[in-house]
Formats: sequence, structure tokens, C-alpha cells
Amino acid sequence: MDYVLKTNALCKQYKDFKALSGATMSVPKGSIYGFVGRNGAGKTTLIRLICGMQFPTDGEFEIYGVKSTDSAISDSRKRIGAVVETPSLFPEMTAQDNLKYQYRLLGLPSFEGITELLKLVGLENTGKKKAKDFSLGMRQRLGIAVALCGNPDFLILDEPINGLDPQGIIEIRELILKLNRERNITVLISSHILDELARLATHYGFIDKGSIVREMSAEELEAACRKCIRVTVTDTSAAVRALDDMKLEYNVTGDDSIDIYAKPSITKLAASLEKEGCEILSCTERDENLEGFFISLVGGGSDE
Amino acid sequence: MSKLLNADMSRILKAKSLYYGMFITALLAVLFVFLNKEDNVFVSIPESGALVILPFFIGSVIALNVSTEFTSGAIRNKLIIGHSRVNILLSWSVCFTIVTVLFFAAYEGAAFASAAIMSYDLSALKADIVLENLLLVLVLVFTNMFLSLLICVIIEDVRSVAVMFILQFSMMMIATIGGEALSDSETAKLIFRFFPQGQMNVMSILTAPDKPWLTAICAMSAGAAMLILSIVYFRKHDMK
Repeated sequence: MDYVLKTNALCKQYKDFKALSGATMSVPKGSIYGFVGRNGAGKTTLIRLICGMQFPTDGEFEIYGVKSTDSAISDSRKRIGAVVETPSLFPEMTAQDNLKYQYRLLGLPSFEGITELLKLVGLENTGKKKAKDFSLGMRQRLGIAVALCGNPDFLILDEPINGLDPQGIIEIRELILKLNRERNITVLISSHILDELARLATHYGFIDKGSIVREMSAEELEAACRKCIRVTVTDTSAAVRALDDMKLEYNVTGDDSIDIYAKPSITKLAASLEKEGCEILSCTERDENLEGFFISLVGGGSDE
Repeated sequence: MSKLLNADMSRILKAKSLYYGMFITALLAVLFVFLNKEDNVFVSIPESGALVILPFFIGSVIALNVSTEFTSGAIRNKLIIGHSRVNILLSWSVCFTIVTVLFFAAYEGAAFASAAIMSYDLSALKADIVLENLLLVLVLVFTNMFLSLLICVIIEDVRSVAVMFILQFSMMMIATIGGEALSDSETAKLIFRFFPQGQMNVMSILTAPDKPWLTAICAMSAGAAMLILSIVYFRKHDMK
């Protein structure tokens, strides 16, 4: 698999606070990578390092195979478009002038394509309205348009739907899907609005306390979140024998717990387990979503 | 670098603050010439008068532009698309050098034009002295510009305007008062030559500068040191 971005044990220390402690992640080409973590988990710090706004204290990363220590990293960054935290816009400029400024920064020979970009993000009719008078959703979309100048093939969006109303969220979601499907742009999107991420992401990276605790594809997550019955038993090996006899699909998840992916008759299951000399201690139905999975992964404590 | 210059210059030249600043500077120059009509101040130093306010106006324009880049996040875009920090800073330096020249031209142009209109006697002016003084003032405002840029790079937001005013005013007062108190000390004189605000204050109160070449060398070294400090700080500084 080709990777657009790979980080290797990235660390970032701010005086007494360790924002990143050995974050290792890989973003596959063509994916929408959902970067999930609580506030303060290190999402934005990692993005800042990738974008060159800050320097890692330790570790390294690769963008399109070019290492962060290599002088050619600035050329690799030219293939990135990013909206970090808030859209980078000049408030006194119109949408078109903001894009013109970005075109000049990129050294593009003409302003061709600006109209198309504005149309893509649905801002073609803003005329002389200044960016400071835009709604939050419009600013966010303009920020994405600015990031798309120069046709990048890797888009980094840091909390792009924070503070947006439902309509704004839908617009951004559709835009991201469009960019990924029609332009084949790889998207790294960080968010703690998990329901929304679940509608977009093809891959996930979960970050907690500065470390990537798990990376998985959407299919793997779906499998992990399958509806099941979780039983805790006194003897898992005896339970496994009973479940094999009953030809049930299951997964041993712990020393005393088993997830059963079917809806067996509880009476029959209990009888079968008793026959093997195994006692059921508890039995719960599990129907996990991304949120539940995240909580089970990092625990449900406070953000601080 | 040329891409950065093109983008920065086109933005700065569209900023209203630049033209408001230049207009007020020119207005003050005219006002000073008018108020000193009786003394015919152009006999001594042509570029004197309200000269001391020039660095404050230039500094304000720099602070407004640089702080906008930081607060709007525009600087992030520059870094993300691969521009180096040194190039970003050098591009600013070139742009603000041009801004400084524009302000200087507005001030001096307005002063000379209004003097001519108000029938000043300019016959006593010697071209070489005028040129020497003009160049010295230009060097001094450039040094002030690099000081302003250093402050803006460190402070990042619009508070840099206030910090810059306080710092420049303090440096001016230290150099002026110190220069008078320690007028016998050659070492003190040399040290105060590194304070461009003080030198400009001296010139603005119609005193001809002594050893202008030495003042220019000291001011240029101070300006270069400030540019180097800005680069060193900016290269290693974490940005939000």
C-alpha cells in the first residue's frame, strides 16, 4: 500500500508539557483518514509539525516518501493543502482576492481556475463581499478553496466542522467526499465529532495522550463494532468447545469474555455451556458505534 | 522568494493603512513647514521638523501588516506550501524597505513642495549637504524599520504596535537625554549613534549631525544585527 504520510515516533515537548510522545501513523493514498482524539490529545500539534509550523523534538515523518530531515521536504509540502484550526484568510479581502493572493504565493502564471474553485466550494456568487462578513461555514469553505489552490493531492483539515450548523456540516461533508472521489485527493481530517467522521472516513487513527493508540480501516472498525452478545464465563476454553459445537461465530476478547456474533437462544447457550462445566457470569448485548469504540479504546475519563 | 515578494507587495500596496499613513506623514511635514515659516528652517537641515514621527508611522504599517499575517493564519499558508522561513522574512524586509522609501518620499516631497509653495528661501541650501542629510535620514529610518520588524516577529499580534511605540520612544529619550548628560564622553556618543531614534530626534530639532558617516555606519550595523536576530528567532520559532 502507498502512503502519503508516515510519522515515526514523533515527539513534541512544550516546556513541561509533552504534547506528542512517539506518535506513529500512516495515511494511505486515496483514503479519507479520520484522525480521532479528545481535545488536547495531540491532533493539532501533529498537524502543525507536518505542515512545518512547528518542529518535532524527536522522531521524524515522511511526506510522499521524503523525510522531514531532508531539504526536499518543502517540495513535498507543495503537494499539501491544509486548513489548520481556523481558515487562513485575509478578512479584508474578497473570496476572489484571497484566492489570487494564494495563486501569487504559489507562483501560478494566471488566475485561471479561481472561478472553478469558487464554484466547487459554492462561493461563486459572493462578489465583493469581504471574508470578514462571511458566515463560519462560508469561511471554512473558502479556507478549503485556498488550500486547494495549486491542485494538491493531500488535503489536511483540522476540525473543519467545529462550530458549523447542520447545513454547514452537510456542505463540508459533501465537499470532502467530492474531492476524494472525483479528484482522488487523500484527506486527513481531524475531529472529535465522531458521528460525522464515521460518515466519511475510510481509515481511522486514534490518538490519546500524544500517542497513536490504534489505526484501522473502516471495514476493521465495522467488524470491531459488530452487533454481538458479550458473555463473561468462568472457563473460556470450555465455552469455546461449547460454541464450536453450536457452530457459532465468536471472538475471545479477554481472559473471561467472549463476543458471540449471532443471536443464539440464551437457554440453549446456557445449557450447552453448563454441559461443558462452564458457568455464565454475565451476558450483555453490544451494539458499538465509533463513539463507543473510541471510549472503550481510550477510556471515558475527562479531557484534562 | 519572487513569488513571496509578488504576493506580499501586491497585498501591502492594496492596504489602506499604507496610504492613510503616508497622507498623515505628508500632512505633518506640511504643517511643520508652515509653523516654522518665520524661522526659515530649511536653511539648516532640509529634512528636519516632524521627522521623528516617521519611524512610528512606518512601524505601525509594518505591525499592522505582519500581525495580520499571524492572526489571519496567512503565514501558515506560506509555510504549508513550502516557503522557507528565511525567505518569508527576507520578503517582508524587502517589502517594508519599499514602504519606508515611500513614506520617506511622501514626507520629504511634501516638506520641499510646501516650502517652495510658501516661498521659503532655499538658496542657501547646498546640494551635497542636503543629499548627505537625506541619505543619513534614510539609513536611520531603515534601522528603525528593522527594529520594528524584529518586534513584530517576536510579538506576532497587534500588541506589537504598542510595544514598538514604547520601545522606540524609550530609546529616543535615552539617547537624547543620555547624549546631553554625557556630552563630554566620546564612548557615550559612540554608543548613542546606535540609537537611530535619538539621532533622528537630534536632527528634528534642527541640529546638524556631526560625523554623519559614523552615525550611518553605526545605524547600518544596528539594522543588520536586528535583521540577523529576526532571522535567528523566526527560523526556530514554533508557530500556531
